[in-house]
Amino acid sequence: MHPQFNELRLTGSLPSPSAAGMRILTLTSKDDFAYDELIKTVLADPALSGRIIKIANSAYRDGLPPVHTVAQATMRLGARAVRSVALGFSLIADNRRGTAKDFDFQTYWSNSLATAVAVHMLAQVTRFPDPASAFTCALLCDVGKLALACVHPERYSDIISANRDAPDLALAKVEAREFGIDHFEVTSELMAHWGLPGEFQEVALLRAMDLDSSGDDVSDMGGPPELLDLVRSGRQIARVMNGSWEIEDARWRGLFLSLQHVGEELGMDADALLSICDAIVPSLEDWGQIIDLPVHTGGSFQDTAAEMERRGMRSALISTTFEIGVDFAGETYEPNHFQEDLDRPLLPLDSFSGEGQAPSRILVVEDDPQMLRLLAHHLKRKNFDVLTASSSSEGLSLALEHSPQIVITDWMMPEMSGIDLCRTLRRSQAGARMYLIIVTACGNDEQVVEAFDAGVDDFVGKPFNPRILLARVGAAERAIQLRERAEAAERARLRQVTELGIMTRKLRAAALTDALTHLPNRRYAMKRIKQEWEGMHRNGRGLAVTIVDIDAFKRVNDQFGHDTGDAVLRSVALHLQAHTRGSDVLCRLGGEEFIVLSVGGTPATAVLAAERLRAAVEAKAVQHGDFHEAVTVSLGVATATPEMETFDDLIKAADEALYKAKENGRNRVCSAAGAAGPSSASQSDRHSA
Amino acid sequence: MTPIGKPMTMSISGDSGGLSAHIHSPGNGGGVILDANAIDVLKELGGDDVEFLTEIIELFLAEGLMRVSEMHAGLEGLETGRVLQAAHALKSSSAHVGAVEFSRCCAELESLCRLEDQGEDLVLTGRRAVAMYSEVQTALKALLALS
Repeated sequence: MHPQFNELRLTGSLPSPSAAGMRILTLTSKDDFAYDELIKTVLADPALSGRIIKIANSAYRDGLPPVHTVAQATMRLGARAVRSVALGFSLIADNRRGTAKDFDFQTYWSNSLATAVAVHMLAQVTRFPDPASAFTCALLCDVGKLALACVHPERYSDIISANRDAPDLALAKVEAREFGIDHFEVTSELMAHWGLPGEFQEVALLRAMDLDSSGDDVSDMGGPPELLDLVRSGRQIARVMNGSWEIEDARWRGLFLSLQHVGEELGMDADALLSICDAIVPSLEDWGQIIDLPVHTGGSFQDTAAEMERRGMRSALISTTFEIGVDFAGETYEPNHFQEDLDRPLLPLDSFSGEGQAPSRILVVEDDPQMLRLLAHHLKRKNFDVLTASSSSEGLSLALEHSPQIVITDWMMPEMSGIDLCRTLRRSQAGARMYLIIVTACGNDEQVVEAFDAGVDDFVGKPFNPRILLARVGAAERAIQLRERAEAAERARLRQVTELGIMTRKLRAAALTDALTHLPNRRYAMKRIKQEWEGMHRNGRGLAVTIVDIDAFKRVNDQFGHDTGDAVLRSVALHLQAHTRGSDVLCRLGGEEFIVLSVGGTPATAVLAAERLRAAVEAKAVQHGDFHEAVTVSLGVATATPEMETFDDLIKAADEALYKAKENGRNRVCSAAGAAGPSSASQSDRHSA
Repeated sequence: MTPIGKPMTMSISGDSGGLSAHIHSPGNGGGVILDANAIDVLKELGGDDVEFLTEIIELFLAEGLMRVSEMHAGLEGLETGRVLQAAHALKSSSAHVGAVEFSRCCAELESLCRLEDQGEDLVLTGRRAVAMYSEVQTALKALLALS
């Protein structure tokens, strides 16, 4: 144990779970604890019971029916996950307030919850084996900060106040200097203290090593643990969610754009990640209500990305080609192949384990060794992968360990009957997918009904006729095949719906984008000017428009051909884009004409910005084939005035200023105020029109 | 009625190596003790594994002896549940080694166990089953010796 953690512990002020949480921790500290006791303890806390049932129902369920009781939830999630989830929730319940003035306990838990919900969703999408535990690990991944705020309220409050925007690593350095231990170490020690899994502690410590100096989690550790990836990604999404949602806010924009790295780490493209992020929002709102915590969800990830794309800010987030057959959640789907899957004929009755398919794994449970040997022998002769168990308990353990597709079990067995085995299997996530065949020498109507009620799929009479047994197994294989195809088709359908959404958005973006320069086109420019014009009237911010026209462009086209003309247009677009201010919007109006919209610009700043553009274009020669010349542009600047009635007046004013710049010799800036810009005197003509 | 545990005299008819012959019991009214077809099925199922038939028969004999002892104890103590369990298990396993008459007797015994008023039939049928097992055991051992 870290010596400083021991000191923190001895103060008795560390965050601690509720009474129910504490009882659960004590009860489950040994491996052989009684399940019934765990369930009773959870039941004693109605709020906790509801939350555990909720998380069991929101976990990836593979078509399982919803659970309604704590016992069912415990069976579904497993005791380990229930223990972690109970601890996490009981900590939220009892540690919402403190005396550290500048440490906002509410915001701390809101951020933690957002991280946890994001991690839970990502865990489900990436088929992480235990989403509920990942939820808790994420919920508590910063609990060291809470602990320091509880033990040293005044000193930690001062540290927080003085380092409000500091990245976590910098904060940790200050903490270590002040307390001899940082919040990462406290988190890890607390997790160990509460008996949480070792991998949780590992995540806490690796996060400390995994932060770069800006606090953005971007470095690649070369195959870090999967849980760490999820927590790191979830935290990044939560930071975006809890940010300003102002595209102009460079810090938040940077966070948003870094989601691309999150997608890369999780093996999915940026657009798929954005749609997942949007799916996290309602889930977070739901959890916020259940736990009674305020949550901040901002806006739509996909819409924001589209807006950034329009403004030319998001190029890093979009792939240039739209590839549909991309890896998603570890599987590759091709468009329309799901229909082929469905159309493929099923195996004929006498054809088991079709060519190229792995043989079905069958578990046979039978307490009579002779019958077990016979059943296994018949199945092995048909090349099935056969597992055998001579008791129900052994069968249960093999079934959960090896997940066979088919289980064939005797009915009457000592300890646990075959029917009870089937009931138990049906309550587990793995067992819910198995095809269960019961072998029975009974077979009256009552028993048949009882068997089907217990979740059995089929039965075989005893003594069994080998041909009937194998025919039933064949039917089981076909049912499994059908289900798997339906599931694959459903996954493919969902994938296609997502792709369709992405495609629609891209088409919409394409309709507003100029194909040659990839800048927003005239349609977008007009729509945007209208929006900004209305915004200007609402908030009183200034609005300037600059129209840029390439000088003597006709000569380029006439002398060097249209391909050279296109190269000149692309080059000028690039230079203009590179020198346009982040808050300005550059669009191609058509031909050799561009427009720059500047929100909040004064006449002077607009002219200065225009001059910067003019100089940038002039400074770089364009090379294409025989063409190797510097081109120049003329710019007309206009700023909105109270006399202007519509935005058309503003554009018209900028157009007139441009005309003036052309008239005055080109390669210059003129403003609608009448006088040329302050630097225009220094400019000179290079070409004639 | 054959007394429990009384040794049987038996004959094996047929000349196809003994294993596929019908085996008759003089003590059972000359009925078939082992069905040759079932034995053939087991042989065929074993394929190249020549030990398979022997293994199945030995498994039956080991398990059968235990079950019949249970059945016997159940009959002596009039514990219907024990008799039923044993009869139920033997009904299926004996059929797979061709002991069809014995299997039918076990089925009959199982049905009697499920009746509310079993009367004397339960004990009588039980004793018959125990005696028949002895015949089956002897016949199977003879088959093993021949193989």
